[in-house]
Amino acid sequence: MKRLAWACSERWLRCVGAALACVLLLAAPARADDGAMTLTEGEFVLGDASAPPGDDAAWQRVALPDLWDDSRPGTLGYAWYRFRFSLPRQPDTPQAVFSTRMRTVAAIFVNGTQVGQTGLFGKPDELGASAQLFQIQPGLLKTGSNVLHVRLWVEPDHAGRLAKLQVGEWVALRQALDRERFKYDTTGEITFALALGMGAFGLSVWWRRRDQTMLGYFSLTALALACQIPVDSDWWPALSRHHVLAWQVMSTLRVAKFTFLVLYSLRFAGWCNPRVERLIGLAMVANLALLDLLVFEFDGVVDPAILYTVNYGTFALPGTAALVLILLSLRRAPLAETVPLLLAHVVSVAGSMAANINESTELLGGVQYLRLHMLPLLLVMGWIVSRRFGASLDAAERLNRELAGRIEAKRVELEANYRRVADLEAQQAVAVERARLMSDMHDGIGGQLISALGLVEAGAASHEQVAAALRECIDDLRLAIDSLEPADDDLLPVLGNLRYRLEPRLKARGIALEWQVGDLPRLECLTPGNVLQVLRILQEAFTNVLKHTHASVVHVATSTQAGGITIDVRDDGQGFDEHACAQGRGLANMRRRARTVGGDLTLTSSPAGTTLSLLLPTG
Amino acid sequence: MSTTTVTVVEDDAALLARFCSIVAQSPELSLLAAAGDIASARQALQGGAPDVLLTDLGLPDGSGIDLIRETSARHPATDIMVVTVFGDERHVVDSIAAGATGYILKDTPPEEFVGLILQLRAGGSPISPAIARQLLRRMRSAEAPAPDTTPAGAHGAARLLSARESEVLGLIAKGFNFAEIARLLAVSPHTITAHVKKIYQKLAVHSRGEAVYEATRMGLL
Repeated sequence: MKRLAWACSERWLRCVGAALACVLLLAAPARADDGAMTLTEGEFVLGDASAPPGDDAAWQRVALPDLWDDSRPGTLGYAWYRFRFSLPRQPDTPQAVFSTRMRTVAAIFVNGTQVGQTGLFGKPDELGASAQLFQIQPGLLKTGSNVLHVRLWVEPDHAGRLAKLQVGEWVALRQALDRERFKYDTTGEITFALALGMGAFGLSVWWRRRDQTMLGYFSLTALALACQIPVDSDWWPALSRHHVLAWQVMSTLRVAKFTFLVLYSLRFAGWCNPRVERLIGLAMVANLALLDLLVFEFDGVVDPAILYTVNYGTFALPGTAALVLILLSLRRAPLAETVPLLLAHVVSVAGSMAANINESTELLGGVQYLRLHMLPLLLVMGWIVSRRFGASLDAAERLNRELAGRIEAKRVELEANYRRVADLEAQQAVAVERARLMSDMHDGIGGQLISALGLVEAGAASHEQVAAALRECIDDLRLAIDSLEPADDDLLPVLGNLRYRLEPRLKARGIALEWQVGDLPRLECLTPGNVLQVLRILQEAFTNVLKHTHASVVHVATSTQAGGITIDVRDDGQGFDEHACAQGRGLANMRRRARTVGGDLTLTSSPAGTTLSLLLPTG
Repeated sequence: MSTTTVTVVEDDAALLARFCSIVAQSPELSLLAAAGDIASARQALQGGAPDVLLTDLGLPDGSGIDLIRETSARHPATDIMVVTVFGDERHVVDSIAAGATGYILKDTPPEEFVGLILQLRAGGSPISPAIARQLLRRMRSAEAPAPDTTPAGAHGAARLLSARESEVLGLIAKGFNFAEIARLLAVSPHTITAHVKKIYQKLAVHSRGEAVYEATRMGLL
């Protein structure tokens, strides 16, 4: 519990730390401008002189920042600015001129000497970086009155503008330049890298998991933002020069970004309606087309207010819609997600508005972390997506575990069932076997022992008779034991074993045994019980041969027919009358046994010998 | 010609007396010792190893199988015969695996009894079809533990049993006697009995190996 609490508080601490770092970063520009003076009041004159014009030129007062679109709309070409300032004494440290924005071709002169230039006059090419620092040669600045000239060239399709200028210690202004570059370039690069990375990663995941629509919208939002940065930051001057194209690309990307943001918010709020989503996409495209149409086809015809409204509609409307959606989902979505998303959204909208204002009055300076304003939103969006993705994975895993548990339970249950069935079967088998052995004992050895006992008790039996009776008992017991050996559906070893047992006795009587067996098909009827029946039949047959027929040879032969096999036991004895009482009973017994195993017994007896045929079914 | 010395181990006094008298009355045999349990049998064997050891399996102080195993290890020249009531393959095959090379039924008539001992001494081991089948099954399963190794049956059996030995066992299992098998394979009956004894010894050697393997696996060796 304590650990968990610590983990939670640690997490919050980390969040607070990150927020503090952001605030510090934003606060950083506040402590700029040490040891520098800002030039805001100056004079302006049009003219293409290559050297600073003298006092005879038609200088007019001007205030910086100076936006030509406002102060002299439609003006193009060369112009000069002049600023006078005084220094209490000649500086002894390196000095410089610094401009936060200088995106036109310009040259800086201090006391008549050029100290720096951006771009090339007459050549619409490099516009230079956003912020510029020009070092002033030592000794150029004097005690008392100094003058700074700026030569400007405004090429067609470009807006003439001059931002505030600062003059002061090179070291301090160098830091200001670094800050400016960080604000303008590095933040853009950070946003670009993060947005591109998140977008690409999200997209690659979405590609495989199409059902993660929210992830898809997030990725597309991030990618649209990532694409905005290079266009917005003049990474490709060639594109920036094509104002119209750049503006169109920018608008399209912005519209795309906001469209995906709205779609994301819809999903976030829990409204999944693909038709509505398609409609929103169409509406945004229509909005963009309308804006294009108004700007390029009806420029000057329509009221600028309408244009402004439509332009605003491309982002203010979806931005507001997304905000409303998030607000609406305050009740439905978890607060832990809604609140950060709401805050991030507010930051992004505010930043967006500030950026829009700033875009039109770019020279005003002020908050320049424009490219960072989308980052919190992006991060929160990504966090929510990953949170929900993780939650759905957790749910799936939980479900899997549950399922596995249920399967395991079923398996255990099945196993128990199986064991129960197997136990029952085993018990059944034991019971059946016990019944068989009981009836067998009754039939066989029990009866034999009782008759032997009768003989002994009557005192009528000779020693040999008792021995013979007991031997019969043992023989029968051995048959029973032999029958317990698994036959594996093979009759030959069963026959072989009988022969092995009986042959010494036949030999003792001088009876030869001809063994004419061949391979036999499998007999499925050879259960231990049936094996015993077959053995008893054959034993009885041999006993008959031994006792009654006076034979000299016994043939045992096997043969195979359709549906069964036949075992023939043929002797060359004198034969017997099947209807004689004792033999008749034995024969009836043998037939009964044959029927029990599903077979058939035939006996032919003549004075030339007896043949007993036992037919056993293969099926 | 010297007589064959016999030591008899049997816990039933009447049977022991019967066996002893059969041995004593035979001019070809001479009784070396008689014992009623394993302990006295061990003592007797320490005094001198007989040519033939006749032993029961169910003894009051242990299983005759252990006595067979010990004797076959210590006195390889001694032929061991199990005395059994039924000659059922389970008991007999276990005894063979322990080192016995013959078995004899308890109710065997005296003259046959002596004949079987002498036959064993001459290298002829008795075998019933059921025992032959049990041996075939046992050795094949020992050789081919994995049924999916392609020609498992025939190929595996060839490793432990030679092709001829397998053939002989197969014919015995079908009920043919030694004379018939000798005729079928065109060899002398004596060769067949020698085969049988060889097979018995192989099973015993294999079982010992198996026992060592099992012991190693269990960490006893």
